[in-house]
Amino acid sequence: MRASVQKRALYLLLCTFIAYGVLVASHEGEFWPFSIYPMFSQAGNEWSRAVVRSVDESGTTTDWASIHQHELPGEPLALTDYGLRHDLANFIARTETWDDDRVAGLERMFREPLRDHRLLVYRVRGGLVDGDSVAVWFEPYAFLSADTTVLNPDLR
Amino acid sequence: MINRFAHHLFDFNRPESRGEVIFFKLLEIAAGGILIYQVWGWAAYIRTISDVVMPLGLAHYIDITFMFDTALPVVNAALISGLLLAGFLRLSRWAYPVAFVLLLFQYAARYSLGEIPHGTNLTAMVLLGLSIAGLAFSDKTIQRRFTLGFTYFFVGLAYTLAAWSKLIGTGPHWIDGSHLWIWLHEKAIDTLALQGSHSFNALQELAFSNYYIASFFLLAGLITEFFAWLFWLKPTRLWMGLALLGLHAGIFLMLHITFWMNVVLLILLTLPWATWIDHSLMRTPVAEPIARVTSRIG
Repeated sequence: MRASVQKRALYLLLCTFIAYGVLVASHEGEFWPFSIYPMFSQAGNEWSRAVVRSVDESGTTTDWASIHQHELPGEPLALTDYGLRHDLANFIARTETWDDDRVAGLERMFREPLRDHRLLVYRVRGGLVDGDSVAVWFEPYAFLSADTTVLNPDLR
Repeated sequence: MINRFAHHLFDFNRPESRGEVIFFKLLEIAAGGILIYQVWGWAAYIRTISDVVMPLGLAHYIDITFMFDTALPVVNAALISGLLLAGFLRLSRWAYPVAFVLLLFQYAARYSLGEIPHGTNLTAMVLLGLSIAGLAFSDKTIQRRFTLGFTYFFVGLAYTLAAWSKLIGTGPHWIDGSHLWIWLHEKAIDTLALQGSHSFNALQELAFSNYYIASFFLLAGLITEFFAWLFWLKPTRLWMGLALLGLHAGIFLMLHITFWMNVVLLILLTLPWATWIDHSLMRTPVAEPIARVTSRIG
């Protein structure tokens, strides 16, 4: 009896393993909860993240030049205070065309903080320079207020 | 050989102790509790989403936007929670499988913005194991043994695949210490975005201070993942599990990524909880029948 149980258990395990393999192979390594776990697999590449600053009335929407961290205007907006996670960075990095739906998606993400803040979203890029140090750039990406959204024309 | 492999994973021939039954209930409660916590969190988050940036899982085949701007995520979370409870109480053998299918929708709706998290993968694999076990076997001991073996296998596979992804995606020079420096800055920006400030801790400063130290950290991580398949074998499971917990401690200290759900699962699967529970039960005094006590007094 136990031998047949073991045989069936192995068969079920094999079937799940095959389904796992087929699904991750046909979906670029990800079909939740199956995964090839590729995090940090592409070492050395430049990365792109995002930070948000709360700016006052003088916050400009016309100066889109890249800056360093110590030059960031306003105050940091901690995303966790609004229940937001890492989605913003991926939202920006993976968006190629900013159509109306995508802009609306960005506005919706910040619906709550926009009640009290004017926001500057920065795309932050980093990478190795000269082989032994890491450089980080802050590129203004979008300005959002309760009634206005302006995207950096150079990045759109 | 295949039978020995199956013996390491499932061990169907060994009698089941009370400690194992209680431990399995704890594992079920942990996995179910984690998933219930997650689906309610996801339901709340889906309210902030209106567009699919990158489809994941089921969203490749179903327009998951029907979950947005409705109460469906909350209804789904309630259904999943109820089904997980029903599965735990063994009210229906279909409760866990249906909960698993509904979870696919909840995940696809929550993670449609481009982020690909892996924190819940292994916990969901426990649910998949419970689902298959309930449908395929009627004997409760066999169900438990199958679920455990199934989980051991996919935990070991997950970390081993992570190592191969690195070796294929980058190559052996993945362990180059400068790669760690790049990720440390990346994660510092993530912390800055989430919390509004960041500072490097002593371990991170140590990695920055010396290229070889940084490379050693990466090498240690890669070796641990590479041998994670040792989790499949009974004699090495404890040590491999401890090594994986050490890996997670290192990832947390270095990159501020907790993977707390994997850590909970690893703590449960690695340490000999069933043996400890059995020992504890043996030490617990059992009330003697009154008749025997009175006859001794008499």
